[in-house]
Amino acid sequence: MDKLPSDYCLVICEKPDAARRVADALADDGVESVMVSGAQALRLKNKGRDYVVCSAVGHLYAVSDSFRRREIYPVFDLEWYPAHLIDKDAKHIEKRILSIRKLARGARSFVNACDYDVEGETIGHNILRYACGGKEDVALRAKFSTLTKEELVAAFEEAEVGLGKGLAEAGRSRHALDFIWGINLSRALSAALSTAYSGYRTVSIGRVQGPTLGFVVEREVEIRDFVPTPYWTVTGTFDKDGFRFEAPSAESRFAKKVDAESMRDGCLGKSAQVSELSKSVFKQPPPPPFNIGDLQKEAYRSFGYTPSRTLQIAERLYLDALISYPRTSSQKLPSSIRYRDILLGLGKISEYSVPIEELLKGELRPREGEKFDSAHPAIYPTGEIPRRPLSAWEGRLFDLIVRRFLVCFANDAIRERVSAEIKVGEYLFRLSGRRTLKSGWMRYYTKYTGIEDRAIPSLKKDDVLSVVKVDCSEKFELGPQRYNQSSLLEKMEREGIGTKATRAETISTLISRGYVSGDSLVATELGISVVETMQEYCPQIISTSLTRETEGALEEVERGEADGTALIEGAVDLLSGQIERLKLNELEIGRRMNDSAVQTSISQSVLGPCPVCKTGRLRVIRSFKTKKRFVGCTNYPTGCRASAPLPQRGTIKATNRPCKVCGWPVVYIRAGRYPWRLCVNINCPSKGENRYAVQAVQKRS
Amino acid sequence: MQCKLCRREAEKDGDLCRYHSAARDALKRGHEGWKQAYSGLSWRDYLNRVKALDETGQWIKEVITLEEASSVDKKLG
Repeated sequence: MDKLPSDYCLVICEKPDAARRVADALADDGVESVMVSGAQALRLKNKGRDYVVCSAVGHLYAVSDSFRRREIYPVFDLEWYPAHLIDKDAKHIEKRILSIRKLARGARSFVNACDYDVEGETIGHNILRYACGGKEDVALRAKFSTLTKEELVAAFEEAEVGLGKGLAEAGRSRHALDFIWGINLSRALSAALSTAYSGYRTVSIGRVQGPTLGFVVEREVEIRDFVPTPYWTVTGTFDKDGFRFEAPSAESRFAKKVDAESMRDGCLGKSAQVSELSKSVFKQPPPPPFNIGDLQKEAYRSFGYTPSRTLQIAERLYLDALISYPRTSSQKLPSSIRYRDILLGLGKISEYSVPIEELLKGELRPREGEKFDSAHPAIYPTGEIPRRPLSAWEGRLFDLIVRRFLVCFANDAIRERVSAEIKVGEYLFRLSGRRTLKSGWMRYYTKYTGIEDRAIPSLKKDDVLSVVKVDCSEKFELGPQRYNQSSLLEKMEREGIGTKATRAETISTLISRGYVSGDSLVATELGISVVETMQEYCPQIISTSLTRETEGALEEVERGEADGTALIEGAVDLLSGQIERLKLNELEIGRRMNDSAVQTSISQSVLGPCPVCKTGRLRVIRSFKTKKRFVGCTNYPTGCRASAPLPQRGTIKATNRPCKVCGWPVVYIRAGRYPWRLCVNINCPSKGENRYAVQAVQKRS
Repeated sequence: MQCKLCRREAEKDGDLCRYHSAARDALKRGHEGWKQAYSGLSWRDYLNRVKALDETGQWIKEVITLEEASSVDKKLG
């Protein structure tokens, strides 16, 4: 504490990296690092005044009930507690709180410089309220969307008191609501399951999690109950001056085989004529700038990044001041962000210099989308150049964001739609194609457009063609498609459940709970069972409309138009009755969920087919005697003795890929910082002394 | 009573749970469409063809297995 000035302004940031950026931006000279109660704070002078910048590490306070015991429910008396008292893995938070408390004692004024959104406001508000001794109403609020020096300096000059009051109340209400729903329903379901299930398994369901799981289960039921219907297509092969091409019949599908065959037979031996030819030119405007949902969808489509991964990388790029705040729903780029300066900055990166030079010649007016977010603009690059080498993951996402920003200023693409009708007797075939006449914005976004030209042969009206052959193919309707993480996120967005910041996390929770699995999300038996239970005993809880209404009410709280307390009281009234029903039917629910929990546990422990007996499956088994885990075959009772030891620490996940050398399953092990892949076969030739020989053979082949 | 195909409870006055029962209804409805599409198709041929398709749902395939087993039982008397 000796190194701290006697009278200073305490600045509270959300993360240590953001604190460093803020301190560097404000400092007249240098920034001095000081340790206070084991946590780092940054001391600086701004225009001769003393500042100390400290940081949280996400939420330092969390909402909880006073019992904190999983067998007690329902619980409705909530309080905010230091997070380390609730979560035993959050010991590091104690030091942070102690440090901020000490710093607050010597502070003359306070600035909340956490991210300007519901979560950031809640973090800052709670720190000012609990750690700084009730300073939430007098602290200034610095509002910024990028961590660049210019914007941070301006944000501190324009900081105001009470700027994010509505956001804080909405955030605190959201946390309380989520806790009341989540903890009570999850405890009720877990208690019910424990009446029948031999092990312990957390069965959770939340306010947003319930309806989201409902979407996946509803789709799963449709898929499992799907009967494909046959249909037929007819395709003609035509010849014009030696050039052969195919055209489908104008009737895209035939429900009856006999109709398709009659068309095929009716065309045989006849000549064809181009009866209609039409061309139309149309403009294809560039896509709007990214908001977080659009970025997550595009990154999934282009690179296969999951929505939560994209958010994680985008936040890293934001902390490096390379992009603006990513948790935004806006598709607007206000002129205040200074387009020209950003483009000039990006122009220093060689791969963007040519497009930027072209763009700077014209008027800079961006194409925008309709969505608006009062807190932040759309995601845009700040124009700063990366100061460290970006990882491949970060580099790809950064490129995507930069290019999307560039295309907003580019001209529309000009494309041509061509269609031709070919008549064979009384039957009609139709050919259509598209080509790009002027690439416009598409040339800056080539890697990501997904738009391809489809050329058709050059034809003139009344051209006579010869019919080479006419084929009739039997096809079957495809069933409903499973959701992937991106399409599920889109569905949540469309249905208005969850927030831009939490949707990806909700999907990750469904996966980690074992309710859904795989890249295309398959509902497990446990997931289906949870939805069945909720539908039967408390259908309102998983109804989309209730969740959507609650989201609407929370937005009203955010705008200062409604009271958060009333919303929480309403939720308590609703939940009390529903929880009571679950409690009354505990045994029945437990019995029903038990089978699916067991089945899901078994299927989750399966690593792959057994290469020894060829009919069984190798799975992770825990020994009753030693409590150690190992790999064993499901055909053990009928004599298969295939087994292998496993590392006893860390999490094990099936990769669903056999070892290229011995055919045993390869697993993915995460223990500590670096995960690794392991062939479970202890005698695999790729291990031990043989591994060099195997590697040499693999290299040669 | 338990569903003949899974551990769920069977529907009232039925032998299958609601999902498998819905699958059996869908299968029956589907036969009408297939008969029209092929201008006639026997129940057995229909089942064989639907079962062989990758697109066919898991519960539909389970119901088909049950249907086949019950027709064998009937034959055996």
